[in-house]
Amino acid sequence: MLAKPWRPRLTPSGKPPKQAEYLARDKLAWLLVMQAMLILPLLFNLPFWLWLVWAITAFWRTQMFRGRWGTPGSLVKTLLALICAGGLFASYAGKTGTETMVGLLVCAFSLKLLEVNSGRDAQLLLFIGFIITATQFLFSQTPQAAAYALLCVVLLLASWRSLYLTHAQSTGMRFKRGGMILLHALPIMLVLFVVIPRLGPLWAIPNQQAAKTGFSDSLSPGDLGNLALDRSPAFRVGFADQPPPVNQLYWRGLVLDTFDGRTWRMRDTWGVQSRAPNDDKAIKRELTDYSIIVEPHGQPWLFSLMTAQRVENTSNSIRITADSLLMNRIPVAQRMRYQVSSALQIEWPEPPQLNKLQRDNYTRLPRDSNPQTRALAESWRSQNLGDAQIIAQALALFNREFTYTLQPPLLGQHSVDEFLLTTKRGFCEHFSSAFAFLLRAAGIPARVVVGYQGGRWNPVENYLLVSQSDAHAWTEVWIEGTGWQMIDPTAAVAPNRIQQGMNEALGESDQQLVANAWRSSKLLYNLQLRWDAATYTWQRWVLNYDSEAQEGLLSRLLGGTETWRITLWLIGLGLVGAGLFAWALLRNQKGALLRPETKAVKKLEQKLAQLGYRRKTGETLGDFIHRVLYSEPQLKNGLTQIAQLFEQVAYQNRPEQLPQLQQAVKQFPR
Amino acid sequence: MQSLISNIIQQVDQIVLGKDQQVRLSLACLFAEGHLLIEDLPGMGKTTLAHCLAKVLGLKFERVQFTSDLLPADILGVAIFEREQGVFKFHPGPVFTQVLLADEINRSSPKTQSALLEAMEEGQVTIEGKSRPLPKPFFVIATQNPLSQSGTFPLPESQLDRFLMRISLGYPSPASERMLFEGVDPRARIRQLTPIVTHEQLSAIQAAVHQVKASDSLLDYVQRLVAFTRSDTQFAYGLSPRGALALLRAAKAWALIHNREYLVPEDVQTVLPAVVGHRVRGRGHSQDSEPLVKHLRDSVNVLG
Repeated sequence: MLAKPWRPRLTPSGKPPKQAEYLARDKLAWLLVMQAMLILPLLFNLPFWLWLVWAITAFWRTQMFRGRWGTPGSLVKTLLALICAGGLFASYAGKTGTETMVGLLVCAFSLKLLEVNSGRDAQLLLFIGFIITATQFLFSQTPQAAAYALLCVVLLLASWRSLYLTHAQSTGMRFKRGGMILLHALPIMLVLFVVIPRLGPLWAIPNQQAAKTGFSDSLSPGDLGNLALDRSPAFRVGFADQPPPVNQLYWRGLVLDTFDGRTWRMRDTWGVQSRAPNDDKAIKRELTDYSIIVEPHGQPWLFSLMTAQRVENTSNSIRITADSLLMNRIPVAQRMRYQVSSALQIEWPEPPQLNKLQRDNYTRLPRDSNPQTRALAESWRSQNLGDAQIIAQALALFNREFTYTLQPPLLGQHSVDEFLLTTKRGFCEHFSSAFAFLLRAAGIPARVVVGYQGGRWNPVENYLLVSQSDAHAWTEVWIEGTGWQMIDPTAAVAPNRIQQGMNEALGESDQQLVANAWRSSKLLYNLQLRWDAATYTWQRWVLNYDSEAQEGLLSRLLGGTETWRITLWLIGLGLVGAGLFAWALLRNQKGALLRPETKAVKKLEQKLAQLGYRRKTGETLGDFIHRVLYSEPQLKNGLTQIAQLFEQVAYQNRPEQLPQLQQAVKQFPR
Repeated sequence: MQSLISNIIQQVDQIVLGKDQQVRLSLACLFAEGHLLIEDLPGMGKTTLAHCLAKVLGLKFERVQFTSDLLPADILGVAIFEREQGVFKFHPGPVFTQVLLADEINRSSPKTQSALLEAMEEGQVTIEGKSRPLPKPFFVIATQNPLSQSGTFPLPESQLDRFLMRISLGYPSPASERMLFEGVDPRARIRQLTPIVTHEQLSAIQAAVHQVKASDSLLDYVQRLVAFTRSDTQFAYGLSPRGALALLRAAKAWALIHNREYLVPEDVQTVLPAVVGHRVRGRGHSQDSEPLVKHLRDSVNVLG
């Protein structure tokens, strides 16, 4: 893109060219490209007709440059602005939210192009551009978005520079220079990021309701099967110590305790169904600390291992329910991070009890549903089997006759009957549902738990990635004397599902199904791991860098967070930076261009200076050494050798003598 | 070749007594195919040196005494009408020689001085529209009186630039002067001199000057010197590229005389006053460039 000399052109009407032409071709081109790049990511979140607004203004501005169309008058401009405002009003039905405001900004940004006549106007456009770049983060905060924004800033800086260029310069060079400006600002940016006080959000970001992903608060056959193909991450876990073995990684999300014959549901309220698990008298064993970064899923529930004892996050919005579940005050619309401490085992000094009401709740079944299953359970009960034996019986039944598959046959009204006695093929929700039903029918309190199981270990950054495909359902059974005990009937059918993940547990046709969705080559898998690790790091260190993290980091780095300390460090850093800069400047000026043999001689000069001899500026080394030898004849051997070596290296083109020269200088005067 | 060079030096030294440095410089100038300007008071041995050099090198020698009424035709030659044949016949002037001694060149008018310009630079003269080549080699050894003396026209810068070196002889040391008194008349001894160099040998020596190597370090130094003359405030104007080339060539000849195949900064520093002295001028009124050249030599770092 080379600047062509500007040539005045007459408009068709014969009038002299408008002011608009005074922006040179290449500068205008840069502005147009810059604008397109900046608003591109925004337009995915905004009404489609904003594309059109930009395209029209860009075309108009190009025509103005070519002298075909005139500059719009103020009436036209007002009209355009009104149309845009009206369009936004119509698109958002009068709501004033983030998106509306960003839409308005994009409109203004596009329309401003029609008014850009001089370099000054262009500069204004660039300033708006910086704000536009910032608004990109309202919609996405991923590392990709950050990289794109960085690219936008480089483009902005390059365009800004281009406004003042008086000569042609290649596009690559302009980018390079723009990037250099950004690079210079980078240290300051980093320091500011670390030390600028982190205020809470000044305003909430409204209508950012994330689409609900993952499972819902009810479970019917087939619900989780759909998730098996979804590879998107659900949450990531970093453990303080060693992670627990994989068969203990049951991430509890919801407890479903009401069954209507086909669907398991959560009771309406988060009541006090059972006694609080974190009883003071309980002996907690195998305490595990971990922190979880959960992806927005639009639901209030969060995930933890059995049994959550303590939970923390910065806004203290999470509490532990009576069922040892984690609940956020509001639905999770943004990525959030929280720390949990779970006791993997709890021993009670005196056996816990369920009261009558609770026992009724956990054994209640709809009256007429699944009669055959009921009959089976009652037959077991009538054999005078104990609870433990009935559980073992049920698991054995699953183990003997059932198949784990992602493509189960469809089930009708009495889903448990059909599954247990006819189809015998199913997915985890079939097993857990049937198992809980069986136990309830036998009078044993049981409930279904949905959540995630396992996860993929990322060895790059040492964390566990739990994907949607890890969604799982299992049961918890009340064992007299022990309390709620996790039992996973799926493990009885397909132990591999628990030990190695779903893919190994599936038959061939299922694997085919899954393979299309996410099984990929080794390389791709590794890339995925690395990319996910980068996302995790980004989330952990950038997005979650709040006032607390800041305090922690500052006190670790600087030894405290007092204002004077930070100020002192800032001043110190500034001085060090300025010093380095000055040093680099001086070095460039003096030493960087010196030849190696000259550097060696400079060292010799330093040594002779200690003896009181200084080479005059215009003195050759030979003359200087001659002068030194006049009063220091004992140095003759060393100095003569050095003089000869230097002459060979510097003037006879014999660089192979250089090491010898350096050696001789090093050994001088011995 | 080296014994030949030292032989020449020895021969000249026997006649021009106690002027080792000047003799070597003037020889270096001739080996570097440059013209020589000797500036000194009358009677210091300028002509003797020039004559001696020509004789030893076995070159055809002409001498022109420049006076204020000397005309260009007196040097270059003139076409005279031959009545018997009815044509103009060119009678070559004294410039058609190998060594031209232009004695007291600044006594003549600028018009005559500039008549030498083409001869010195191109090795040819153009008379009445016809270029006539001069014999090879062609040296001009000019002498001039210090400008402070009356009846002198200062040489223009363009002409000064055409001299590779400008040297001055200076008074002899008492010992050499004593030898001069006691010895035979130098003029008589010059007559007895026999050429010791053939034409081919001289060409070989001149070619060898070009073979002397200048390393990057040394070229850096020369460039620093040149840059200093152009940027330092004491200089009215800096060295031209031709001046810089002259410096390098003279230094190479100096290195060859001292039996070295490569340049060292000392070579440059030695020829510096002779090569640069007449090419630069200080901002002040002083015509004497010696302090200026000394300032140049002392201010530029040899090692970078």
